[in-house]
Amino acid sequence: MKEITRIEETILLTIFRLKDHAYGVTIKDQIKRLTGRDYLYSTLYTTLEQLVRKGLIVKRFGEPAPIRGGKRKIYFTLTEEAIAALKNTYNKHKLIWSGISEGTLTKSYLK
Amino acid sequence: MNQKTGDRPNFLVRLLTRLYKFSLVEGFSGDIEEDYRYRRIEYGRTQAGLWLWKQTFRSLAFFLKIYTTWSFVMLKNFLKIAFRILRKNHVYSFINVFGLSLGIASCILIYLYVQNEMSYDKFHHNKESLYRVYITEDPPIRDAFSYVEAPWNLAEALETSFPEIKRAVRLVVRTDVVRFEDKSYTERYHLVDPDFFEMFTFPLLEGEKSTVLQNISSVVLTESCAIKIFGNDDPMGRQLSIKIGNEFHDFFVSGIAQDVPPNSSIRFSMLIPIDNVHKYMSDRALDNWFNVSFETYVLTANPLEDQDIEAKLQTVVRNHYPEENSDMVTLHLQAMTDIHLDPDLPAGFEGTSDPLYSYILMAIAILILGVACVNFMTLSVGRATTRTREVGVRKVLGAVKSQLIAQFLGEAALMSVSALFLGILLVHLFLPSFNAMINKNLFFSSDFWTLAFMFALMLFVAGIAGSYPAIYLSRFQAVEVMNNKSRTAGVNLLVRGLVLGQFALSIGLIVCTLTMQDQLRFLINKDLGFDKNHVVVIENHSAQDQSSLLVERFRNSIITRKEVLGVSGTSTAFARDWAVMGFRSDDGSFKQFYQLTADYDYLDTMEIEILNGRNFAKEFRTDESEALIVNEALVDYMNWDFPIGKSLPGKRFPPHRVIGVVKDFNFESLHNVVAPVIIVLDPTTLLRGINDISTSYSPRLLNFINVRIRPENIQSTVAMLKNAWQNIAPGHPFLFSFLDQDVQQQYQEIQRWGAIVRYASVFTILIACLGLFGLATLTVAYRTKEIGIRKILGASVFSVVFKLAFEFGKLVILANIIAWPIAFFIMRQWLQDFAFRTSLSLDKFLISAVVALGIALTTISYHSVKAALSDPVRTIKHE
Repeated sequence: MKEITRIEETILLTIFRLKDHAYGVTIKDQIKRLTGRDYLYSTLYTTLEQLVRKGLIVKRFGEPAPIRGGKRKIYFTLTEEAIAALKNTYNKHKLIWSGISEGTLTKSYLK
Repeated sequence: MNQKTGDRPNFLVRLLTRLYKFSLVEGFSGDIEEDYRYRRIEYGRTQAGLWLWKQTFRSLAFFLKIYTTWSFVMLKNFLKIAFRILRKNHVYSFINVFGLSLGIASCILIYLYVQNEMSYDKFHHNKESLYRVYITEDPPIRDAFSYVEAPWNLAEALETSFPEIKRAVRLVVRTDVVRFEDKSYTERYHLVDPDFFEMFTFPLLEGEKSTVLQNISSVVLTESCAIKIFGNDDPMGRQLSIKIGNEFHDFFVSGIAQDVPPNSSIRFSMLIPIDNVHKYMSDRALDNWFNVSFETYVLTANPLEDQDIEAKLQTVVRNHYPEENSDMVTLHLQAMTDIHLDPDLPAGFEGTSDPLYSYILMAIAILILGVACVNFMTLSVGRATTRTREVGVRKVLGAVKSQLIAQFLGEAALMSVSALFLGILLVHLFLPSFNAMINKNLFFSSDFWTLAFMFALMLFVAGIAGSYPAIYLSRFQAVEVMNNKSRTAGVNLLVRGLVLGQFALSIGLIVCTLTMQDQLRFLINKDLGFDKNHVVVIENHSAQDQSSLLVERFRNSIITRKEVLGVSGTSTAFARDWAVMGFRSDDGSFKQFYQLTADYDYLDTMEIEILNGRNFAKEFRTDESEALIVNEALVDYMNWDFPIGKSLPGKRFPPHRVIGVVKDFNFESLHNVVAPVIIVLDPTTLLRGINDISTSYSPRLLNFINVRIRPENIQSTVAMLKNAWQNIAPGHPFLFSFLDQDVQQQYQEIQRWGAIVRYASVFTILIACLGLFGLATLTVAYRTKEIGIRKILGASVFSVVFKLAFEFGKLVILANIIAWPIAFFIMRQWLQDFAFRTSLSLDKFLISAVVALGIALTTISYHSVKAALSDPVRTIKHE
């Protein structure tokens, strides 16, 4: 089972949500909309690069468009391993978070 | 084709694309571009542009971080290996670094020299608008010639005729006695126009630059001159007496200037207003447009773009010069900053340099550095055989070629940094003797340009010296290397050629050194036709009517002393300027001769041989005005078969005749053949008949006193002469020199260049030896097995050493064959400059061949003996 980092998790989930439309611009927008973090394309792509190398996502070329300076889009799709890894992460999260809610965090620690 | 969407994103996107070195690059750059265009539609061009810049800069930082993290890990490893290798082969490392540092040191020294030469007169604020006038004459009977002194009235004519010329300043230099209270000095002083300080950038410590020279009896001193005369007292307003012409005149110090920078073409220590010129030149002389004594500088309103003004300058010539001469005279302007290095114009009051020297020195520096770099390569490649395994292991472990190249370049850089520091050390070591050699006072400062130069030098050295080994070593195939198959044969040939070249260069330089030394020895030892040894030459600056009287009284006071062998007064001395006189001969041709005014004792004192006729004699009363003594050259020049009793073939000469002929003697430097000379007791007769004269010393005066002394106790004799002089001529400084030193002084330039060539040859030999050492390393490493097999088959140690030595000896002999004709040609050319010269004998060539061969064999003996002694079992057991 492949371990994934937090940023990888975020990106994988975003690709999952975007289904067939997952490529750089949409991924970056989506993450920004959901988490408020505005990643650099450089950061985003280095992580995507890593995910491809780990075999968690596969790339698929789209058509070149004038708006992209004639370059092709690269769409990303999750592999089965990614789904497994995400499931695993989800279960771990659930375990770690069990019995804790926002309310309990505030109550027990910050008075 | 891209849509026309503005250029800005493309540039930044391209930059980012370049930086992003991974497989998804197309998506990456496409996305950025797409995002940028959305933003431009949504928020406008500025906002989008801002966003893109932000992306770029933050990405730059990001990439820098991720790339260097890994590079640092590798760098640590590289450095560790580099230091280990430096330490392990400390002999090689030292030789390598030392060779490079020699090259770097010579480059820095020569850089300092060239920078100093190029910096002349650049300190003037308005340097772009400063010019000096020079005049070219093109007379019909001889080639055109130029001079940088101008007539008195030219400055005024220029100022009034041309609006472009804002100011003109004249300048003339004299040397005479300066008195302060009871002390007297012989000083060089400048007469200048009062605008001097407004035109040139010579800062004044005391005094106002517009008024400091307004008063005719004001004098401005430089700081060091003021200290010399007044010590620590305040010099302002003090009175000095300066001798101008025949009399002393009082001057009052009105200003103190900073000392003149060493890179100035105007070098003064004492300035007085130019109107004092009337004290030694008549108005008639000043108004003569062919009386050229004044360097004339002009300040133009703007830097001159073209040479338009030169055409206009001709109007001045047409308006002022005598009509028959106006066609052959042209006026020109020379930029102030060109003065020092202009090879086409003669020097003015200060010496100039031939830029050729700078070029020769630069060529030497580049050659030495280039050779040092080549040797660095040789040695590195020679060492490569032992490092093939390291390269192999690195490759097997996944190092890519660029990493290996970076590693070896880095090692070269490390070496060149060490070499740079060692080189700077060497510069400090060599600078004093280098200064003495080039007669300058250079110093090593860490100003911006010097540092930049050294940094560039270091990069250059690392790049050149490191690139070949880096490429060569990184090319090894891992498998071959691990199987111990090294290929060094190809390199061997290249290195062989380079070493050959270096030795040819060294041999050539040795030949040059020997020839120059030989010529110098020849110049110094040649029989000049007079005895130059043990003659004291005393300068006699006394006034017109007193000069011969003074000589007479001085002679009477010392001639009875046993240490004095002879005393004679002359108008000029050997190795100084002699008067040249010219007259129109009866057959219409123009004849010129050198003239000397002497007294009765001259020929005896100087031991000049009389071939024919007799010496001047007091018994013949007409000798005073009518007798001429000439040299053989004059007899030839006049085509006289029987010279005694002959007269010069000019109409205007009063009666006179030749009474004696002397053997030719070399009164000028041996660059020149002996020219026609006439010696007289009184020049009046000659002066009446000639049309033309040029001289630095008045022929009517006995400006010098030559005293021949006994060779023993020279010091006490000189003290005695000084004492006698001060009794006879109180107030006149006792200025003397030894004739043999004066004569040698003429060859200072040759001595200097001889020294430079000698140093260059030592440097190149040293470096060539390093190269040979590298080649020997390479060859022996390549042939270890061959030598092993030879030994097993019965070769003795001696025969192996001999075989190797023979191989390198062949190389040196080949170098000789290349070097000899080139050196022969160059030296023959050099010797052409001298009318009297030594021969280019074979022994010099043989000596240099033997020296080179000896040095070469010594250099390689270490390797060849080591290889010959090595145990064959060890060397051939590999594989």
